[in-house]
Amino acid sequence: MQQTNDQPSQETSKVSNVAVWWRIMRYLRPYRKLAAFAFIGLVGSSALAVMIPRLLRQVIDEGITAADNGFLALAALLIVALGVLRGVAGFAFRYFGERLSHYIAYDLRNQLYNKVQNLPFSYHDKARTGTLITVAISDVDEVQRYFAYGLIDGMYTILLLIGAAILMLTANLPLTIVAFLPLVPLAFLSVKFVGEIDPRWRAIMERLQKLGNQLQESVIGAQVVRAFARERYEVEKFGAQNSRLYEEQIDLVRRWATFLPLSAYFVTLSVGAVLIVGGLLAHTGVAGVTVGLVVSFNAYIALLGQPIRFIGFVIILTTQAVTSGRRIFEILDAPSTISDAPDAAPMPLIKGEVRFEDVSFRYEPHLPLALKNISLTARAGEVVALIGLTGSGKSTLVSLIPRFYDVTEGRVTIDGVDVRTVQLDSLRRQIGIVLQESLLFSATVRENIAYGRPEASLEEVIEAAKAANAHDFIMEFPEGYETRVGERGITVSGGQRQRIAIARALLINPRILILDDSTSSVDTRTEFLIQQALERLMHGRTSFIIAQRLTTVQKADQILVIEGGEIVERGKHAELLNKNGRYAEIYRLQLQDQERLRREMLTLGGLTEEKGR
Amino acid sequence: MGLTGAAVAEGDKVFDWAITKRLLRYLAPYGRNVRTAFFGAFLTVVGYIVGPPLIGFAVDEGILKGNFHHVLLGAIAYLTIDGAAQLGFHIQVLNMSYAGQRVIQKLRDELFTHIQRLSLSFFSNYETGKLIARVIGDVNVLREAITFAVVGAVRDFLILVGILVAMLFISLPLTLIALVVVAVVTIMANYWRIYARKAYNWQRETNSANNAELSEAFNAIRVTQAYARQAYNYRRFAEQINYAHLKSSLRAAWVASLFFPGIELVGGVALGALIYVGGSLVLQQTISVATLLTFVLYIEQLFFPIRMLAQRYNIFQAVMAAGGKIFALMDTPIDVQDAPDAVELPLIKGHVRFEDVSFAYPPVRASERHKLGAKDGKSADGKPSNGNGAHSDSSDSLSSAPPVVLRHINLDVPAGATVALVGHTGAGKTSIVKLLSRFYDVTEGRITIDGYDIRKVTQESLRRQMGIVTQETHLFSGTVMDNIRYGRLNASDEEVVAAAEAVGADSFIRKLENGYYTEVREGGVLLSAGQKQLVAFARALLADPRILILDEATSSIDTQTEKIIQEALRRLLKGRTSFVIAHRLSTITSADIIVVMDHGMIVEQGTHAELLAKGGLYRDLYTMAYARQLEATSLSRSAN
Repeated sequence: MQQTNDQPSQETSKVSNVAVWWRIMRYLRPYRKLAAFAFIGLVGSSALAVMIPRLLRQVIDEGITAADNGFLALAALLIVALGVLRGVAGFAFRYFGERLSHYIAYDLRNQLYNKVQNLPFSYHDKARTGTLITVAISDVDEVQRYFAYGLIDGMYTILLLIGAAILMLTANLPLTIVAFLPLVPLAFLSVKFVGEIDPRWRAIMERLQKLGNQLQESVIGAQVVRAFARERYEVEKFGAQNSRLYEEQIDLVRRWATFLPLSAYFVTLSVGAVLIVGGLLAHTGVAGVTVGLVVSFNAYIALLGQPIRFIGFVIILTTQAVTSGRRIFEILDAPSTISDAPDAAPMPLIKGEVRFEDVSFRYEPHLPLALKNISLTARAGEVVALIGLTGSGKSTLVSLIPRFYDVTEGRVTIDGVDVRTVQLDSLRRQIGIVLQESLLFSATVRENIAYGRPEASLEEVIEAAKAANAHDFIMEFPEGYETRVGERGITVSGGQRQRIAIARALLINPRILILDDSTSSVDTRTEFLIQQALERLMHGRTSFIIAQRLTTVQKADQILVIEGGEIVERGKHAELLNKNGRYAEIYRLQLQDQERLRREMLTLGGLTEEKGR
Repeated sequence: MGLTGAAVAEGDKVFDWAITKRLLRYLAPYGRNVRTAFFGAFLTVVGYIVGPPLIGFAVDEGILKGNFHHVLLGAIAYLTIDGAAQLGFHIQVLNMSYAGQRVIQKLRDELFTHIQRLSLSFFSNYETGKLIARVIGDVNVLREAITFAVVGAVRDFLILVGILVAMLFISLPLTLIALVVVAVVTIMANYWRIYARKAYNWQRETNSANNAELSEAFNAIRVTQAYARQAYNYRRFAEQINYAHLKSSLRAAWVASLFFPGIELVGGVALGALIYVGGSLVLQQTISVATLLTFVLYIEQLFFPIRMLAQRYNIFQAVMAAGGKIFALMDTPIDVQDAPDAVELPLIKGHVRFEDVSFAYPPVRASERHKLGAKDGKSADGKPSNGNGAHSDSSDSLSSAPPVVLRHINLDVPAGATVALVGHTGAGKTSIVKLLSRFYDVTEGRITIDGYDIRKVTQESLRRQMGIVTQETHLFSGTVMDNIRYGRLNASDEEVVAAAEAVGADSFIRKLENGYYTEVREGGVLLSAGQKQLVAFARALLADPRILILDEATSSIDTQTEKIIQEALRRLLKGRTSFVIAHRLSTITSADIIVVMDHGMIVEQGTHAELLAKGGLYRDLYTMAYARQLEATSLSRSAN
């Protein structure tokens, strides 16, 4: 299997499968002791297993046929002892094997988690979050299964085969050949079968996923479905998928229903052949062919039959582990382009002077510049408002301050220190960011507010919430600050969300603040509360605001008008308005209009909440 | 198989007659397949019971006694009988899976169809994830059960009993050894089952916690990095969440590793006992070598059915649990149904009348909510929660009688008129349009269109002539073209493009990567709120409804898009009866009828000029809107 169907990406795809496999195996290293236990158990178990048929032969030939009662008792005791030992050894290899597989999965997930968390924004801009999640969940599972079952069972099968083959060969060559005659094609059959069902099984899993997605869509969009009377259409669409699923399932089951009995019959053939040939050999008086021998051979076949029937699964587990390993290593090997310089010092306590010195920036080498020759100075405590159309570069500009990206040219300094020369954590801890979409984690309100400072006391959290005008509504939640929000918690409105995000930023008491003030519309009162909270938040901090509100812009110490990645105008509201340039135009066309519209909607739409209760 | 792993608890029933009966009804059309499957299973049972004595015969009578004919006879008979047994197995699985697959397909289709007919309020009480669990996961549990477990359980039981009976005929003392083995293994398997379930349930829990954390953490990378929380998060994951998963997995590994070695151990002891006792009996010439051999083979065959029966016990528990949940969902009553004598609503002009309409949302019984796996903390009436009131109105409305949200609404809207609904949140604007689109039925009074009571016509014929544009635009996965065409499925590409052009969506669509054939993923992540709205407008325009219901979105949109939207709205509303939950002043002032609502009642009604002159609530709202606006002063002065 030199080729995999996965989109080969970058470096890792050039690495051979064997190399990937070795790299997976290296994860065993910390668990050498467990691996050794498992291996001892494996060898012990298979050795004991192959001894039982041999003993059976002696029992029959020497005990029963030779009528030796004492031997019979001894042999019986031996069989019991072997059985017990085998049980213990079997437990050892299974248990230790699974144990180490879970440790490895634990290690892999930790590594992935840590890696993904620290990969730069530029990586996440391109990566699909869904894929990252799938790798961390499913691909790690595949590797875990390989260690628990593929590797262990594969080795068990091999050891069993070797042991049994040696004992059989030393006992009788022709009979061994006869016994293996159906077993060899059985192995091939098994490999072929698994090669056929595996993609089909995966297709079914995907189909089920699709059915689930369609159901979800029709439920989330139920109102649209009803509105356009499209129920029948949805039902037909679902029915078509469902009947394809039916056909796929039937196809898969038919293969199973053929393979299972057919493969079992190959084992039966082996037993039958040994009986007949053994009988013939005994009849013609070949030396050593006794009843005991024939019975023992049948016992060997019984022992080998199961592992050979399912040998295909061992092989598929191996190839899947390699495919999954490749995907895992691709993530682990992704370069962390933004990391602390080796000699990085912690950022000292920030006063708040932010300078862009002739900064240019492009997201990717092949893309055009997103920012061109930006120079600006924000003195400590100033409010800088950025205005411009979507895609003009406002967000890009502010994302360079916490060093989410590194500049392509020029430099960004805070209090005269280049942001690339200090430790990332120490820099970002002093910068507060409130984004347009305030993300809440499925955790308690308290944990959400304390996200940037998990060790904060409840008093501090409450203080921040009060300043953010969030305390009152939080207290109305069933469990106050301990109420769970997010996916499995209570529903929180947009306005509440925003104030929690403001509290979150307040709690870390940042020296520099970055905020996106384009709020979705909320009622007048909430609007006022948010505005008040924002003003408290901005007070005494250097603030960069991607501004939508006229009031914010009017109050700013500096207004930067951004167009096509460049600052085209800068100054205060009054100055710029007098200048009658780009700002004045935007003011008339957009800010004013937008302000008017917003007011209208707020009032006439009647979202006033006090009355809404 | 993550989707089928059914969690079962000790208390779950193994058998529930009501559920079984209902499942059997689904299986009834496939009676022939079931009978054939049983026939196949019977062949397998025979093979299991007859095979070992045949081998014993071949060895004893043949090899030991030197009669090659007997060897040949025994071996060939064994090969034949086992061939028949394997064929039987093939027949059994094939037939049962055919029947099972059909039943499952039907159940899924029925469930989906039922879900499509349920009223909207249902969805606010039933998590989407749970619906998917019913239709995908629970139905899959049934599939496995029908395909393998039903006939399999009977077969395993027959094998067990058959072998024991055969043993009894052959040798009593050796049968006693076998009985002891059966008893020990059964007890072991049963204890193991209970023990294992706890471990597996624990592992399942930690597993989903792990997955949830991974998904949330990876989705929140930017916030995490902004707050420099990576190290803390990592420690929490490695030391708590992932560690708990490790612990539970190690526990499950321990449990799983016990079972097979345990059986091997018992097998070894049983074999030893058999050899000793059996061997002695052979030496005393009480039994033959063939008998001993037969027993050795029988004993090994006994383990399999016992193990399977133990497993099936769990499966049947899961089936009853899954079946119960599936049927509960299927039995959820449909609130809004076509009347038995419902007629097709003919082509309407669009004259809408509300005649003394009052309305309270249908109550949701607490017991039902619980049974259906209702969400906590969501309002029962299905209203989107907004503002500070989101929480406070959610807990009290569960068991008490639902409040009346509309009182004595009388409204006469001539065909083609535009109605703007104005009022505070909770005033009843949304309820009015929901009643008109018959998402709910009125509690009192009636709504007529061109004189037809909307409860007396089929829902499909009603909604086909009605277009509804909601605040939040829902896009289906598919292309932009598909999404617009949702308004009229048989529309040609040209018609779709024409509709997009008419609402001013064409230019932005053409700028997308693949134009009209750009895929919008679930939730339509590619498009901005304004663009989504335009798509929704095009969708509604394509449907060309006689009555249009529109809930104006309030999210902020840049000025350019806003202008396009206002223009689109004008075209959309032209020539149809329209009900608009209006937020834009331009929409309101140009409406034919403005309906001002408060506390579920219509407090004022009239045109813009009339209402301003009247000096009531509308004028208050209107002047507020302009109080802070310089341009507004002149307007309101002139109105005075």
